[in-house]
Amino acid sequence: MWERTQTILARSLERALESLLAVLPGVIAMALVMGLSLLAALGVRAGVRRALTGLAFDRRCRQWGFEGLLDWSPGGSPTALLSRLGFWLVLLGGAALALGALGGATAGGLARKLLDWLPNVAAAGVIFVAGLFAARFLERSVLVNAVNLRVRSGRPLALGVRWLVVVLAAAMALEHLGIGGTILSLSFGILFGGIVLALSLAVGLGSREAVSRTWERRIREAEPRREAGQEEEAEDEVRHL
Amino acid sequence: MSSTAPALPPAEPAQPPEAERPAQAVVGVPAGPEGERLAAAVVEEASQALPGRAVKVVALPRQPPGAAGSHLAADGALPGLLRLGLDAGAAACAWVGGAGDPGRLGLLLGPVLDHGVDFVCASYRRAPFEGALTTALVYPVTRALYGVRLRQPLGAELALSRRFAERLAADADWAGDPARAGADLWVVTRAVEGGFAAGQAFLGPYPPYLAEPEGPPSESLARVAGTLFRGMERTAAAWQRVRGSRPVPTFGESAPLPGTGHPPGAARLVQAFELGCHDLTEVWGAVLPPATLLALRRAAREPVASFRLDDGLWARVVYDFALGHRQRVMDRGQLLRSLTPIYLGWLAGFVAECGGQEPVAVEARVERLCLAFEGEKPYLISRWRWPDRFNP
Repeated sequence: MWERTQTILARSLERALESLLAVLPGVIAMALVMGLSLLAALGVRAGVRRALTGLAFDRRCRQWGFEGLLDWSPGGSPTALLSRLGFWLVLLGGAALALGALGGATAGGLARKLLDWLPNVAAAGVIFVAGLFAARFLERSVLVNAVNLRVRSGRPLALGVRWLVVVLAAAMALEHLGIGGTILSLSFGILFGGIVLALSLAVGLGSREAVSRTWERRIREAEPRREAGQEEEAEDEVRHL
Repeated sequence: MSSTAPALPPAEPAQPPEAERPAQAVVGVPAGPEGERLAAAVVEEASQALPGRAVKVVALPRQPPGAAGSHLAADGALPGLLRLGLDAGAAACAWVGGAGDPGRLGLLLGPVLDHGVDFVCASYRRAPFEGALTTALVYPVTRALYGVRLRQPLGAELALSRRFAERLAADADWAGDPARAGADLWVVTRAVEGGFAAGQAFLGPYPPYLAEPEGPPSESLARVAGTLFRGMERTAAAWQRVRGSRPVPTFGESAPLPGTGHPPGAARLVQAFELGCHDLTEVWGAVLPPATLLALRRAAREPVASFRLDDGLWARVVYDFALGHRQRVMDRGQLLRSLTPIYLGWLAGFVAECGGQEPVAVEARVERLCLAFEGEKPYLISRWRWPDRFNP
């Protein structure tokens, strides 16, 4: 009886050891990959921080007008934000590789999915950041040109352009990540179309009288000038070139 | 294509035939459909203005005015002109933009051939409110930076001595990219740096062939200020050593023409400035120190009748924008266009002060402006050298 029990226990132990030995290289490889990933992530963080500090990135962000980026950054430093982003991206990539090293159908599938997804995350990030730059550039262009054309509603116009481009960039980035699918495109289409329609209606119907009053006022203002001394023509006497 | 003016009188038998004699001056004119006719007209001018002197006229291709953000009409043509002048052994080279008064060539080339001047910058008699950008920006900045009182330094026509032409041709910048090197204020700075005698010749009223269509002020300002600021960057080492300014030999009648018609109104210029102060503070904040922004806001609260933008403030604003242009704090086109309301604000005060005044009084007002720019030059040098540390 005791001998039989001993045999069963020995076989069980042997099977357990065999299983452990089968998994152990994968675990060791995973730990190794994770350790190397951590080192790489730390290196990337330090490298990004050093490079961006050398470029005075924080000051440039302020000069370029990315106040939003400053608000989201830890300690108000976009350099810290980007270096941490780099750190976590590398670590996430390392984790996906480590899962693959562990072996097994589930872990391997998950790793493949994560690794497949990472380029999309990077591309979406690039799209969004480029969108932010484009939004800022267009906002300034609209604002400066509106002021130079003496349009009084330049600021809301510029702000509208900025948010439109930011929303467009966000929608494109999310679509690239595969989040939302057609719902996102549909929502954006409805939102964009709605804004344009609302603006058209506002100008066409709601502001009809205001537009008419503005034109009347302009015509009234112009008439006495023409009669009194042709001030507008006189202003043209300033030749800039 | 080239033509040669009738030269020394035939009574002197010792002279070689006209075709064999070296040209004393080479004059470049723009090539094009009218190039041949223009060259013939300039040959005729030369025979009247410089009798007894062999003048060779050549038509050379150039960039259209204002191309690549430049202002100098001789752009792209100057390298060819200098090469021809040096090869021909000419004592002087000149560039003219079109046919004009015969006396013009004498005024342009005479200082080089007869008075030992190495570089003659063409200027024109204009009414007080013509060429406002030159008055408000180009003249005061060039004078403060390079210390020479050239009234219209971005002249579209010029004359150079052989000595100066040789120096230009041997310049490292010239060897690298002659077309770019010869543009903008490069010639002026090389003349000042090299100790060459610079002068100016007033050639009469502004010729119609140089008149450009008057576009929006923001576009003109961006083009002219961009030219000026790029020149500042390239010549930073030179202008930081210059202190004060000196008059240059002046030829021709320099008195401005009297204004015609009703003096310009300042009200709309002030409104443009107020709108800029209301909407562009954030953009200006990227280049202007807080004290300057505060002074601009205060000025915007002044009533139109008493509105004036202090010359010192305007000078500091221009210098700050030059620094912002150098540091590329934002897109350069946007930055330069955003200067327009402040420029119009200064102009509003200028037209309010000078409207209806005699040209002499207007020039005295311009002199005060130039002195303000010279007075603020230490501010520019400090900010240029230590942009982060010196930020009042």
